Amino acid sequence: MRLKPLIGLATAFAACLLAVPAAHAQDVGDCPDNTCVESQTSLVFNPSTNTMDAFTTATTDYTTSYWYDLCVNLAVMRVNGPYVVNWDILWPSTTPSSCVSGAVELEDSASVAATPGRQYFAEGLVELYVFYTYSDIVYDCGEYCDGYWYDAEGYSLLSTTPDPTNADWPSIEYSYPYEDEPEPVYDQALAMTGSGATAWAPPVIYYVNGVAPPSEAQFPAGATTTVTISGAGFGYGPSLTISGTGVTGYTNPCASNPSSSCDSTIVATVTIDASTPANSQETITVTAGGQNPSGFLPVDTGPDPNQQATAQATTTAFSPPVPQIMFNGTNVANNGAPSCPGNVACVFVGQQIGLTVVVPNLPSGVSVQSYTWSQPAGTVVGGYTSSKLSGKKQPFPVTKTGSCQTLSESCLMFYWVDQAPSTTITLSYTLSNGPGNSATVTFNVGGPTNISIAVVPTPLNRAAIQIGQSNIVGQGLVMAFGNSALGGQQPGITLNASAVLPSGNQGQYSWIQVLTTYNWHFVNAQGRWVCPLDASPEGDGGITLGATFEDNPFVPATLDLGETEALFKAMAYLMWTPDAASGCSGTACTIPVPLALLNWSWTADAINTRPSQADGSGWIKTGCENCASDAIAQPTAAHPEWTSNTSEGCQPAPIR
Amino acid sequence: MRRQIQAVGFMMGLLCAEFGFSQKVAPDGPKASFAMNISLKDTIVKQGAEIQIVVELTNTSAGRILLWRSRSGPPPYTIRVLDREGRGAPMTAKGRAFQRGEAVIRENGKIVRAFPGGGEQVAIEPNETVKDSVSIDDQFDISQPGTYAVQLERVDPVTKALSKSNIVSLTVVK
Repeated sequence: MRLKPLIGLATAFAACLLAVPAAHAQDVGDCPDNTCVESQTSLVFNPSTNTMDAFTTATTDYTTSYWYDLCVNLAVMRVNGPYVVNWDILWPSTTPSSCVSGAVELEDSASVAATPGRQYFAEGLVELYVFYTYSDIVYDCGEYCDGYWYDAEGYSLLSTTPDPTNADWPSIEYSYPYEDEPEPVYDQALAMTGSGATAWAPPVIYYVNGVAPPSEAQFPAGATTTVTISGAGFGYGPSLTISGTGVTGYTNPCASNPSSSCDSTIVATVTIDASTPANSQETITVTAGGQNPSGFLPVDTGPDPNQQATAQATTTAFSPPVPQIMFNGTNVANNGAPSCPGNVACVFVGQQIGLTVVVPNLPSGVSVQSYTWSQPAGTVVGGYTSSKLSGKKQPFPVTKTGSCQTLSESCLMFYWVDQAPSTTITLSYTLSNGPGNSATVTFNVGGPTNISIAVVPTPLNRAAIQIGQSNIVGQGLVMAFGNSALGGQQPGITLNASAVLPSGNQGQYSWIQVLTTYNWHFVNAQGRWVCPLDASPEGDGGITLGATFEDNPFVPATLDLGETEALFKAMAYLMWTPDAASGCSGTACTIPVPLALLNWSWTADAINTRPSQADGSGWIKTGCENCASDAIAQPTAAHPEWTSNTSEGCQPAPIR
Repeated sequence: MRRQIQAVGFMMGLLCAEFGFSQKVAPDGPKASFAMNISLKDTIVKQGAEIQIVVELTNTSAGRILLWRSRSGPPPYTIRVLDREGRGAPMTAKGRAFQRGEAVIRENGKIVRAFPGGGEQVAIEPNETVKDSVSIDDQFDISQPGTYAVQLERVDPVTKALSKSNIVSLTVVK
């Protein structure tokens, strides 16, 4: 809106300047008798002498006149302000007139010191004084000649003597001049000083970040702030300084990329040190520079301390930023209680919780010195791996950094085992220059509910103990719990899991069984032996997928044995592995978590009464009337762990 | 070029071995009610690492079948491992006991190691496939780097027919 008046004024100004020489050209054209005076004036900036050099020349051809004077006068003026309405005459100091009679060409020149950034104009003035002659001779006027002493113009000059009244041939010759004095011929030239000058329209700052001086904009400490300086007269390439306590740097795009927009707006940045006290003063100084669009012609200008505008700003105290806590690509800092389902913070037991911290907009030189996570509530683990050979839970937290499990790194990675409708983790950080900030993230941890394990009714009595040929080819006679190992369809024990699975995540049931006891006692020709587990507990085949689990333990009952006895105690863990969270990929996205534990046992004893019976009919079962009566499920949050497994067998030791 | 010839020769050896095994089953005898397809969990393993075979058991019969899946103790598979020259890989004491159909290792008639077991009968519907796994590194001494061919056999508990798996190639590196 402000541009329009400026443009209008500039247009009027330009039209005024152009009209001046046009008018004088018309004057020259009015010279009498088809003769004219030609005049030309120039004004240039001489950078070598730093002067404004003016030159004017006038030419004429007035030989038809009786006599003439050609006068040239040159003046050089310095404009005061953006418009040619007020100026100082620098040359000449007085108003001399240099006239030469009958001159065909006349010149004048001047050189005045150039003040950077100022505008000048030169004016050449030419005057031509012309005399025409007019003569008449009156012969034999005698005594009447007196009557002709005056001509009709009233100021005729008698130019011929002798006295006509006494002459033999009295005559009078009148010769009176006619002076033609045309209007002075002017010729003007305007110029501005060249490079090295500044804008001559002093810059002015209207607003800094929307705040009009003398009110002061505010620059936050510890941040890089955009500073928009609007005003006028900055030039195309103004320079900028922002100084004061705590200023560690600033930018000025207009210095490197001048443009017309810079004449009125500078979009800069300023960085204030984080330790800068509140209410510190910052000074913004704009020094006009570059091309100046306000003059008659845009010319390059340079910095001029006299062409400056300033404004003040106030520093506000540094406020450590609120940290961002990123989870699966979303900032969940201070998220509040999530509404489930559909919120990224609605998670499930066994899903990887991977959090990373981003502290935004830290000032240069300031870094995060420490991170502190609160311990996630409930049972959490750092991971869980299982195979036939081993099962291991990764503890959480740990002391060794690098795995995001120390509660003191910029990241946190763990798995919840416990469900919780609302559980909050707090992240705090400190900065190298002082206190930091903190944020929380609240999760809803879901999982299966109403968990139960049904033990399929099995004849828990001696009839469940089977002795016969194993269906594992070549394994011979065995004593087994149930008859599945003998090719039948009566498992020793069957466990069926059921639960209400969480909405949106059906997951996968699985079972992991570890054995705390699997002692095989036997008697043979070498004596009595016991073959215990190498360790307790031992893994029993790793993970078994599915909601149903069955087991059919067995021990050898070969004919060379006199007695065989099994003491078996197992812990069957019902596990559940959730579906991976959206956006998570890889094997670490989920782990199986324990839902329930069922302890059960099996004991059996048999005596081989007739070793000659190859079908095992000589074996008589003894003991163990109610072998698996303690099969009761209970909730658990403890992962099964083992470092050796039953496939490695046992080493018999003699019983003394 | 030489490597290619060796590789071709090795695969031909595997085929010959396959042919040789096939001769042991009467072509018109009872057929197994399931098919076995095996793959290696890791086709390239370091010396001493666990070598686990993933077994896919597919019911090829018209009815429901039950197959034993070991959790511990002797596995229901006969395992054959041939080296590049077609020689059988040396067995461990455990492997020899299992191959003999014993769940114990004897030295001079004395039981020095025993393998009580456990597992489950898995019901497989027609055309259904279930997975099992078996480790072979504790039954064979496959400590020498090289390439080995592995094949599993299993007797159908009902038809008593022998079912043989495909052959997979295992590479052991230092």
